Amino acid sequence: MTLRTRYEFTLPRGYVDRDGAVHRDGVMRLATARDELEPLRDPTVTGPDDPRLTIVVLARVVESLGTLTQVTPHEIEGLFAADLAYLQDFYGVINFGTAEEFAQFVAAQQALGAAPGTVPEPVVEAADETDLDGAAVPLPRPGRAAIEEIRAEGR
Amino acid sequence: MLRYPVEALWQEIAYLAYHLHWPLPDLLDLEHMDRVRMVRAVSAMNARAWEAVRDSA
Repeated sequence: MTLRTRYEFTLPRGYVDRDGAVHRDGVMRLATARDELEPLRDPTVTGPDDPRLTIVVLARVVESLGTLTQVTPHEIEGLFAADLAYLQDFYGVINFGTAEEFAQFVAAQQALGAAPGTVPEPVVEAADETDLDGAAVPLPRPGRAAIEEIRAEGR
Repeated sequence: MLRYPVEALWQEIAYLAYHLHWPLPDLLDLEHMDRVRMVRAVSAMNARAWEAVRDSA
């Protein structure tokens, strides 16, 4: 088993609930095959390219956010675009990145957070679909080598 | 968002199921990097086994 399976994060802006309370600190666990395959069978997801797939996957792996007792697709959809992009990047880094890339990501976020009040106002409140894939970090996919190993062995 | 290629997921799960005989739910619940490590480990063991077969032939 991987030693570390849960990662704390702090959203750049924070989720604002219906009472106006802001929830910024959360925990994301590492994803499994189930986390990426089951949402494909979700009736609200039309296919692998549906931006909602990202929402459903994130709702599964974000275990806590502020004082919210449950994080559902509703909360993920209600995030600021910057926070959604942050969570997507965070997902990529903790699941597919190296320890070095994770450290770089955390350092970059801390540098941004060091100047409170200087964060620009969000342009949109809800998840902007065109923003979903554009925010992906081009990290290496460690699965490729393993897949090739299977093919090579079959010969 | 960066996700694991779906076909690769099923290939890796099938590979581990074939060699380890673990039930599907257990394989689905392996975290990505754990699953990749398992695939590499099993693959390495297979390669060694084939080498042994070739050497004895």
